[in-house]
Amino acid sequence: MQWYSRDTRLLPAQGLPLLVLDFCLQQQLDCHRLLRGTRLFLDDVLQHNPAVTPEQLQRLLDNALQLLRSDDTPFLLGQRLLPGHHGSTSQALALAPNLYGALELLTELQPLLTPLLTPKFCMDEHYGYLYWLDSCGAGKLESTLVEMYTVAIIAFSRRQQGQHLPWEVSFRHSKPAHIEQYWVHIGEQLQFDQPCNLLRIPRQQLFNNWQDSGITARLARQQAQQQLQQLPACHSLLETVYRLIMEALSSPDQGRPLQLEGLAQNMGLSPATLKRHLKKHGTHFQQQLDLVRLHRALYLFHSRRLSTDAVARELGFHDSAGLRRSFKRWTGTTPSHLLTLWAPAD
Amino acid sequence: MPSFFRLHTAKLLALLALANALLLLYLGAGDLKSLQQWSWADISGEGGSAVLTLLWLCLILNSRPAGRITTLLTLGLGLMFLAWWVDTLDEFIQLPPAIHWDHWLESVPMSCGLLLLTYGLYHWHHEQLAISAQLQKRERLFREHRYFDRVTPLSGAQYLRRQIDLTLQANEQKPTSLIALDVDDFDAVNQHYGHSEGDRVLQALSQLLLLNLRPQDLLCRLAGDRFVILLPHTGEAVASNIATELQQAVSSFAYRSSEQGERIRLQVSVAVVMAGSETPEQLLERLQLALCRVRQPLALRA
Repeated sequence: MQWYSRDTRLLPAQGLPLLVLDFCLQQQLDCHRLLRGTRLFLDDVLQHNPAVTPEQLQRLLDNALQLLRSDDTPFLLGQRLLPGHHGSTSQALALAPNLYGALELLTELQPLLTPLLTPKFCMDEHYGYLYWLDSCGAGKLESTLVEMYTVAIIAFSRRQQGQHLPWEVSFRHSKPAHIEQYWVHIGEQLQFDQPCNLLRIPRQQLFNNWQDSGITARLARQQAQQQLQQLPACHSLLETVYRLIMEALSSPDQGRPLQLEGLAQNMGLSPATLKRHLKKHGTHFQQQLDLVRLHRALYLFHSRRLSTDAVARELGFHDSAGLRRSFKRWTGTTPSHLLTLWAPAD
Repeated sequence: MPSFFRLHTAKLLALLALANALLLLYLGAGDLKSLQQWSWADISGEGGSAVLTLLWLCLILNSRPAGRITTLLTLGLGLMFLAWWVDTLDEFIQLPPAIHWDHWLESVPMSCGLLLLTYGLYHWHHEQLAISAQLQKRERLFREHRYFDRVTPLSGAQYLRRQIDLTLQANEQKPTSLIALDVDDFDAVNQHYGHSEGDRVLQALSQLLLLNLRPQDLLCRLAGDRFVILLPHTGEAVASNIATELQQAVSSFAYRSSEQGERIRLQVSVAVVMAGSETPEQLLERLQLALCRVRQPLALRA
């Protein structure tokens, strides 16, 4: 199988799940209540290192949040996430020569480091962008996961750089009541109610030298790649869907966007099976298609500076009015309004 | 929360065995009353008292470790329960008129129980005083004692917002200032000494700050390593003075790590704002921006 879903036995329990467990036990949580419904046992985790499904990990996180009932839980957890304790994977990340190298590794080693969200990285002439895709149907946990992983990136890069980096962060959710946690753990450049969960940083910051990349770093990376190969799959189902739709949308000869049938065929599934898989992850084909088209539109508008007409043509709309209507439906705002918010600072 | 119940299973079992023995004694000595003879008012009154006493007993046992005072309280409440239990049995079972020990069974345990309970409560009061004195002197982790946090002056951001709101409404004419105080590179402390040492640093720091404040000031932990102090009736100049003094107090604070006794040097950045005509949320936001300007090296500012 080329992709993992919610119920794939994916992660070694002594990686991320143990990190979460350890954190909670340090906070004096009762182990039985913490593991309730996860079908995990502490002794089993410690002795046999069983493979854990994303669903189990989500349940564990959910239990932890319910039991700790504290606003700062995702932020404190996030600080501990990267580089983590995943053997050579963490070592490779810690030895990254600069932020660019670290983010590249993060996307490559995603199933091991951030199994529940998929980071996507891209650059234009001003900025580097890191945005998050849901990997396994996070549902109501999504904003918490985004908080957690955003803090993880920011804390890790600050540690490596030795000072604060000028990250600007956009969130899909609205401004929360516990905004002070964002101020302290993330920074002051925050925007809420945005079309995607995104971190952006001026391009030159990506290449600040952290350390010289030697043989050790290369070796760690190779070993991390071997660790990755041992997993049942390197991409989540939702990411695979996203990538295939994006590829179809970006290829110039594609007259119309991909349909469910074509996508299912590409993935070697029947349309009904694909539909069922998507439903299990709390989504459906049209939602995924809209997501890809929104991201593509944002990229074309913002980074390629295309006009509405050109973007509409690229995305297979009949006219720019159709694109504007759809854009309003996806984001609640117009392309031009969004672009003023995202304008480069210089 | 740990449950203390399992420490006391023997006590509860003994009580239930005694209640059962009394039931058997009554059944052996007397005859069941017919339904017409039941007095519902007595049954609900006496039975209800028995049930409530048992509930109090369970609550106390579940919240206390074993010990002298727990034993006294258990004995007192247990005897009271037995007295009411016998009282309740009376309503269902008719004893022959020749028997007199049932009156003794009702009144003796009740009076003994009340005396023992009073004695236990008296000692409990002394125990509470001793515990409070000990807590004042003991340094404790922040994280583990969220319930104490509400009692001590140190509370979280929500409490701070409400306090700012109240202060602003009460003193519209007089100035109110806020100080924000952020530990520089606190992440390094966490990384170097571990997160539990980091929590201890915050705990010690909050006590240090409290010592350096006036009685009317309020110290809250906003989030993470950031503290906010609410200064009623204080203008910006005085607040700046206090902020500088706090900064100096922290930098000469010789905190020692609990593992190796190594000195951990702490520095804080401070920012001061005076409240204008704005909501607590806007005020906190302005404070946050002021702090960011102080904290960030100029090279990184766009």
